[in-house]
Amino acid sequence: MRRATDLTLLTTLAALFIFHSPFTRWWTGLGLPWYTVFLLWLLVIVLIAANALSGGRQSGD
Amino acid sequence: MVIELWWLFIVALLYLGVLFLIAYSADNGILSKSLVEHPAVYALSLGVYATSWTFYGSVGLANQSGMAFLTIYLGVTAAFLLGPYLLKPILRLCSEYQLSSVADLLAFRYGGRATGFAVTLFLLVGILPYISLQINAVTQSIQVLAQQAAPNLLALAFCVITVVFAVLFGARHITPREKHTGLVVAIAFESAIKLIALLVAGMVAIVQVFGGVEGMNDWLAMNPEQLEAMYHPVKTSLWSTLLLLAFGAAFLLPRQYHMTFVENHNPKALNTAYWLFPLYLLLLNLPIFPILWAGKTLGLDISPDFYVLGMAMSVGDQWLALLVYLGGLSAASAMMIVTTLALSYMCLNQLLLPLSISTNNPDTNLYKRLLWSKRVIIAAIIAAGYGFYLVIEVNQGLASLGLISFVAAIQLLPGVIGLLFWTRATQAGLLLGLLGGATVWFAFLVWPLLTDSASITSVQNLIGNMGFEGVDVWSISTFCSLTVNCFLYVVGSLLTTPTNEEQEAAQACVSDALRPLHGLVNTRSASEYSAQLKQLLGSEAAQQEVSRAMNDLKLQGDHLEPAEMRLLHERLERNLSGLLGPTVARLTLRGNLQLTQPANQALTESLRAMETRLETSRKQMRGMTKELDDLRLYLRNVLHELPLGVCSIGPSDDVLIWNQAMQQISGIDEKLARRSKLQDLPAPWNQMLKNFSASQERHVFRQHADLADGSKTFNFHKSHVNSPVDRAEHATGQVILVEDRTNVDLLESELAHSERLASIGRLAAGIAHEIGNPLTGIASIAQNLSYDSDHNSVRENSTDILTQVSRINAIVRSLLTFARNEPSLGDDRESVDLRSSVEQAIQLVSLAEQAKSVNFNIRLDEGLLVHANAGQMVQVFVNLLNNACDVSDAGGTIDIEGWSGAEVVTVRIRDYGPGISIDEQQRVFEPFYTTKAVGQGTGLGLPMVYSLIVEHGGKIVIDQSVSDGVCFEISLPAMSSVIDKAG
Repeated sequence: MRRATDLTLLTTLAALFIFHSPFTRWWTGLGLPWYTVFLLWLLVIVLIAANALSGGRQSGD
Repeated sequence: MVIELWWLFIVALLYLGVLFLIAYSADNGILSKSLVEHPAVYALSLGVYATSWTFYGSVGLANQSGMAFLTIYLGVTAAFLLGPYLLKPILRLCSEYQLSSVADLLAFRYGGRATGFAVTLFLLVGILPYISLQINAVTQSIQVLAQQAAPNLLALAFCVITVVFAVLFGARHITPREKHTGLVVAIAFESAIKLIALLVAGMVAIVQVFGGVEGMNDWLAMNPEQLEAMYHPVKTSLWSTLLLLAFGAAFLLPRQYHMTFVENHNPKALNTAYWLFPLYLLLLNLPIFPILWAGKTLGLDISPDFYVLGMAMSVGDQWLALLVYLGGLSAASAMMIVTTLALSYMCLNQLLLPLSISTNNPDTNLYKRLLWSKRVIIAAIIAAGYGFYLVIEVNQGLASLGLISFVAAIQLLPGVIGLLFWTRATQAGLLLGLLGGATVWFAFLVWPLLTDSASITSVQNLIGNMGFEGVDVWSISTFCSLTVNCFLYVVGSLLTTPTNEEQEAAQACVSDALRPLHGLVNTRSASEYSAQLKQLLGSEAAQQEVSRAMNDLKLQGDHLEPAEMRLLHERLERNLSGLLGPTVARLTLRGNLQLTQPANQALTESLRAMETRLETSRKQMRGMTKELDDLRLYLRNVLHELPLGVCSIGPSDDVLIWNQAMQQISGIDEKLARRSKLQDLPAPWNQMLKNFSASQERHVFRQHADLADGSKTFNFHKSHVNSPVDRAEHATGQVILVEDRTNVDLLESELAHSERLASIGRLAAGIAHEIGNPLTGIASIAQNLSYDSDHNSVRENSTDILTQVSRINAIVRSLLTFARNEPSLGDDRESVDLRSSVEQAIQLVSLAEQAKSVNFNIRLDEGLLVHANAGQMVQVFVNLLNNACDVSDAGGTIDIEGWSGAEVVTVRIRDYGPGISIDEQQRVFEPFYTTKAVGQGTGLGLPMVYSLIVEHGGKIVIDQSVSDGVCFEISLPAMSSVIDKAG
């Protein structure tokens, strides 16, 4: 349970850093390919999935 | 390319027919259960979030706001990322308390009619534009494909089909505990169609319009302003605003709440939805930019909202156009069906029932009435949406109408976050906040839409004139409304005091730990309860609900103990909450079944109810709660198994604990005792315990009682127990210990008797010893007399004297042997001939009056040698022969036979008395058990025989084949076998 909480916290911070921080303005100003935002979004989803699956196993779900 | 209107109508009809078929198959078990209940189906059904706004309007919003349109989905991802702390607790509340809408949830937490009423009314007003938007999107898509304005009749037909579908598959069951499986599968199917349609359209855009990915990249390289426009909005306020709006909409919009929480059949499915649903949204949005750019490349002369349709028409692919059209139809119909269904629950529970429940006739079927009411409400909501569609001039684009609803939904966010994390919040605070937020929302976003002169653009200009340059209308309206809402919510809550009901609900919301139930139900039986409910629910519904609640709790019988009645009341409140909403459920139950709450009794019943709930809720426990409950069970078992009677009573003399030993001592079953007060227990326990409980004495010793199984003696001890919640209060209960002293007293009496016998034995041994000396003298004198006299008569007399002296000697020897009754230590054992032991025993037994008239039929072989304590062997036979003599008639016979085998020596002693039953045979070796009349036997003879024989490595049994009298068979290791083993 504690590990799941840690992962959720880390994923939340990562998502905030990517999508709602000064860093967001920086990377969107780099002229990266249009699909970059989808790749970053996918990264967050993968972290959520890893968290959900490991949390589920730990709690016996 | 143009598609005929009738052709579009037929395709729509066929598609909705397929939906009917899927929903029907799922509902009737034609589709496998594993498929229907698969977590992926649940996650896909959440795709109802993607309405026609997403399907068509995303391209328009991407054109207008670039990458900012993605925040509508990134916000949802954020909500699902925090799902374990946000969605899971709501799901728990929703399923545990059967809350079928967000209005029910808030009404449950904040209580009162006003909460549910305000939330429902607000959402109804806020969502109506959204429904009209769906109708508008469908008619506009038809207009694009058919190149002519769609008649209102077509929109009406679409609405009618939607109503029929919602009624058939969404309003089949009245309670949320019965899930609408068919509806969920159909919505999941619609989500899949939307995804397929957009992905195919995106592929077509890239491959056919740009000639591949390279072509699109080249086009972007030639048009760098497109990429710049795409990334630019990240730097504006809209980015943050839309993220927040979508975050709230993910679970506050009625349709999202309904699919996420109400239709969830397995909480574990939410774990899959945490990542699968955001992934679905990602895939759904992946083709949006390529479609937008394809539309621009093609130079489509239509609103960007419908570029996806325009592009399909432009490339001349009729099938693609139809697929996209079906995708849009799916998006609109799914949203309308689920939203109206969710709103129908709200309207029924929060608007209609609070006003009409009191008018219910006991003879009417409440279930039917509710079901039909819900169906009518569904039709009415869609009709209102249609009316709104006809009246309103949609000139703001699809995204604007959707965002208006989003800003409305976000007004519920403070209340919902508060219910999860802030127990101090009150109903007044919520209503004030909601009123303030709704007012700002209406003024900024709805009023301009309803007036001809104003529009959202004019509000934008107004905001600009006020000095908020560069801030969009959505950001300013969201910021203002939420600020006012939060401020009033917090201040209103802090200025008012939460009621008891609010405090209880707040605790239930922030923690899933079990809480004690307060108060007692006035009624004492399920039938009485049902009769009272009948007045409001009707007889059929009242009976069904009471029996359903009893089944849930596994309660049986009509007469229930107060704690069980309290649990039944609570379960009924939850079940009725699912049926009528929490507001009406509370009104119904609390209005008619007042809870009494005498302070001293409430604790007792609360503890009982708590214990019963803990028994049934162990599966839900985790971590510290489970460990504490394990400890509770351990301590409970210690009390239960204590070999001392434990009876705990509450302040009103209700029995709380009645342990195993208490059941054995009193013969009163625990269940019966725990349903009673002390004075209601069977006699004489009622009087004994009541008197002791009322007395000032803390200990009472040796109290005699005449019970069914004889006279018994008890010691009583007691101690006062204080309430764990309020130590300042007077003592609230007692614990009474009951010690059965009957056997101990008997043992003490026997020990005293044994002591007396031992003293007599020692006295007898001393006398025997003293007799021995004169006897030796008598024997010597008699012998001398015989030698010295020549007279025959004298010699005969002296011989007789010697014979009698020899007899006296034998008796004295036997008495001395029996008197030496020390425990055998092993080293005092010697070779003993059992024949000799039996003879000595017979001589001793023959001293008794009765034995003298009994014939001993001795058939003992020679040389019955065993390794034993001689005195103890004599004692064994004395005890057995004494018993045999006691049961034999005068002149009767006692058979004694013995033989020696290779390993054991066997001796059988049989009498021809009345015999003993099989049951008694099993107990005769138990200490203090006797078949003799009271005062005639001690019950220690045979146990002593048994222990002595076992000590000597032998065994004693009763030959059950003998029916006439009793035959004891003793087997002891033969002396020869003992020597062999030693050697």
